[in-house]
Amino acid sequence: MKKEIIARSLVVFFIIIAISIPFVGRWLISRKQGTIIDLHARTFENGGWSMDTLQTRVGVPIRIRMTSEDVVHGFAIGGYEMIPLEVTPGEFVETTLTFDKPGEYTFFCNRWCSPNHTRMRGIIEVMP
Amino acid sequence: MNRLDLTRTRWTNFLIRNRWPQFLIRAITLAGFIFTILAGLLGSVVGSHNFAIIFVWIAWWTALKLFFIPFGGRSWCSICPIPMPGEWIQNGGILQPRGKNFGLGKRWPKFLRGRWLQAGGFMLVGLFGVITLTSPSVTSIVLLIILLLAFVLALVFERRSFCNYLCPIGGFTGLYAQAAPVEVRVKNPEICSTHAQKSCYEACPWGVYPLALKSSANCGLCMECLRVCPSDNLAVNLRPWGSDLGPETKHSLDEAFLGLVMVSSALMDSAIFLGPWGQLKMAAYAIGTGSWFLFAGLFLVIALMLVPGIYTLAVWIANKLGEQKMNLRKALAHQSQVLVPLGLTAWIAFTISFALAKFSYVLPVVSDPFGWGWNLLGTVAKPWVGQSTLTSMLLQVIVLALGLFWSSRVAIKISGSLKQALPMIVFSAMTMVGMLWLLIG
Amino acid sequence: MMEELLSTQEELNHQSLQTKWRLMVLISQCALLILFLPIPLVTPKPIDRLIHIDATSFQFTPAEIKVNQGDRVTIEFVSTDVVHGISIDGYDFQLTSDPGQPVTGTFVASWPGMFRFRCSVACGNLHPFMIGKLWVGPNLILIRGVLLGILAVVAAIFSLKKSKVLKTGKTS
Repeated sequence: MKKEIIARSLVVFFIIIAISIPFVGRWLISRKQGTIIDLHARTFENGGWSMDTLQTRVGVPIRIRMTSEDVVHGFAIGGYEMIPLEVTPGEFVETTLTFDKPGEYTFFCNRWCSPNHTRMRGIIEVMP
Repeated sequence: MNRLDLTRTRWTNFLIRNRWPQFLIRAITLAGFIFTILAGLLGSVVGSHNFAIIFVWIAWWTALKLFFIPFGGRSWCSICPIPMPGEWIQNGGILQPRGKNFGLGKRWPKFLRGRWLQAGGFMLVGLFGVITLTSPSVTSIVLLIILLLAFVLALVFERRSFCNYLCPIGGFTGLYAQAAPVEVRVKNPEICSTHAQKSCYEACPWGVYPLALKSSANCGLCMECLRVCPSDNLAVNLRPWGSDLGPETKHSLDEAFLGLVMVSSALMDSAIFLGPWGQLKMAAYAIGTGSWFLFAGLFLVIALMLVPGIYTLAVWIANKLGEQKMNLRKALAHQSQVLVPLGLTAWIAFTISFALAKFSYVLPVVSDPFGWGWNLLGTVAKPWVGQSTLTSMLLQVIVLALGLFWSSRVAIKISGSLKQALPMIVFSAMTMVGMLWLLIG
Repeated sequence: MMEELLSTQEELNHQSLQTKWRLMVLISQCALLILFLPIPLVTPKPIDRLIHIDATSFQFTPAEIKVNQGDRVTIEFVSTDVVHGISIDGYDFQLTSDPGQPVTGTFVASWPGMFRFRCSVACGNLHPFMIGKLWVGPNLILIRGVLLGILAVVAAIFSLKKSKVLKTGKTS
């Protein structure tokens, strides 16, 4: 009977470990990451960018971590000088942006990704 | 009898008889199963970066066909976690023999017995295969349904009814276990005849009476009979490959159906996944559209009419050529043994192309199971684009030729004469040439 | 008398075992010959080829290409929808194309046989199965495979020819 109890505890213990890996891991990472914004790229038909508007202030750096969920996308911003990023499915790419002037900037995909490619865009609101 | 009894060696006997080694592996596979379901549901939608896709369809599915079945028959069933939760309730414990029988304990309905449902399940996997293979969440949902179904059925029906009559993988492993080099058998039948209690049958979660065990197809190698036998009268034998195939063994029509479904699936999967026909892949993927129905129709015509039709024709001719005529139904069942080595080697050859090319994905997803950009063990690396090399093609040629050699031998052995065996040899050769053409042609 | 019978029986067994071994050695020699015997082929004079390949999710057009051994193959590769790539198994050849922007690359088809080419840039769910086939010269390994199959059948027949199974089969 004692063995049976050990066996049951082991099963439960292993299952708890299995379940806790994703949840604890996600929690730990979100603590460590702090202000990093996760931005997922999808074709317009699949929902486009996972966030339509990002907000920041002049001079405050904004960190974005991007990945694609389907095909190769790109990331570029109108009126902001940067080398366009390649956003590959399953891979992560990180960038830090700092804006000098307030206003609304449009970020968009610069790799042709679907018939509605040009509609895959979002806005970064930079407040003074 | 050229058998090597593993219970006669001390350490193998310990590994088999003691409940702990098997229990620990199953506890880990159960946790791994749940982890896989979570990974598919929570993790990246990009299949190549998701543990669920890579571990189920690349690592496990390959290991099953290249290792577990050819070297251990139903050895996967002996460590499979799927019946575990249900049996915990059924038996009132996980480290003890069957006994209490909680649950309704109904017998599985007669008209649903046999391997028909398993074959049907395997065909469903084939029909929706392209989406299951590429979508982590669909893979997870399938696994979850299997786990829940096994649990619920364990409460309603007796023993491992799910495994015995529904599990598509159980059908697959059971069929090919007949060719595998492992068996559980009674050591001395006379001892059994003096023992009135049948404690082995009572303990068997598969509902098998070891004394009557002729084929390894129905034995899940769980070793329960061995553990409860008061006379130490059960052996775990290593045996020559293909021992359950021969003129004397009994086979039924559902086995023929299952064997044919497996052969057709190997052919179809080779065409879909490894062929250059994009239209076919897209049709198989676009479930619910007109082109998918066209694909499904084609799939069913091949699996239910074309391949079985050619098989039936071959058996019918063989039957005509024989000196002793059987009725066709019996002959169809009897000749189905040829399909065992044929299907097994076809699946192995398919797997060599399919999975080895993608094996470089396995280590990265161990470090980053959810595709969230982790690197737990430092094994994340950009996997190279899969390749099928000349070596793997040579290997496939050899495996397929061995398969043809083997199935021809079975055909000759179970036929009265060489002449009578010829139609089945031709059927095997056609299948093999088909596989060759799809894989390396 | 009995002993004598037994000993002749043993001798017979021994003999049949020996012929069995000989047969096995012979068959495996044949198998090796079939697999590896170099076949001198007259390859046509190498030429330069220009092949245009379109990539659309998840299909190459054309997906089946035949060239001769030694040909200098220039591939003009263009994607029509999203970013696709092309890499050929066994060849060190890789191209990536943005939609509508053709890229070209050249390789010498020095290895004979059948080679799959695949999309090398993740392009969606069916990406791992976006496959085409390139044949360089006649597909010898397929021919060898078929010959090996014939040998397998012959071997199966001979391996059982003298066994009890067939004999009892014939008498019944």
